[in-house]
Amino acid sequence: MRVVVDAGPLVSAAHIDDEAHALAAALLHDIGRDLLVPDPVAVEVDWNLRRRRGNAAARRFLRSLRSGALRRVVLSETLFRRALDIDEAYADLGLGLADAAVMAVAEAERCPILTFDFADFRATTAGDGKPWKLVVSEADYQRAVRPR
Amino acid sequence: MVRRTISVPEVIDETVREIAREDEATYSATVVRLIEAGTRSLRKGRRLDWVGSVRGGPRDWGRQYERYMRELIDRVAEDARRR
Repeated sequence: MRVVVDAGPLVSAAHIDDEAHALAAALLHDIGRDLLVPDPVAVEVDWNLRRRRGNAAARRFLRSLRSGALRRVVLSETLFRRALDIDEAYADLGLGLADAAVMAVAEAERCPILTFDFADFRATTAGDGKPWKLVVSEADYQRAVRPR
Repeated sequence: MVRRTISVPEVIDETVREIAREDEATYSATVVRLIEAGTRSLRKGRRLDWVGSVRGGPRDWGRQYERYMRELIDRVAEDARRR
């Protein structure tokens, strides 16, 4: 099953000290090549890794997209338009292109979303008015990061 | 579609015929399905070498990456203004 991913889980997977690292790394491993990474999300992850930790980690991430270990999604004209529509429909949230692209891809592929940004995805709905299908719910996330 | 002629050991040929589904009209269709499944399984096991490669930084970086990103952008802009 395909899953479209937001930047948060990718950053958590890269960051070994992140509270959700184990969860994110396990999900990435399980989903593998069925993980869809829209280009605007790749840009955010690249930027985060480069600014905080230098170029090497960012380049390794980008190489995994090039090798097909994760699947890049280049925004078609239709997806780009839909992403802008979503961003404008929820102007107060200030979603931005990356989150809106994740939503547009989820709609087009009818696939669930892997995100840790529960607030924005709870505050919006798919085109049919239904809530987004999330791979990890906020409750699952809290359970996973709770200290043992 | 690309047409290729390949040689397979008899035992593989028997396996392909055993595994063929009723809805697969041709031998090629079964081989394509098996190769796709095998490729997926091999790639799934491949470790992503950037996973776990970053140390330090906030523990909620993944969950709050947008906030941290905004802070970084503000800091970069502030540095640029000072120069």
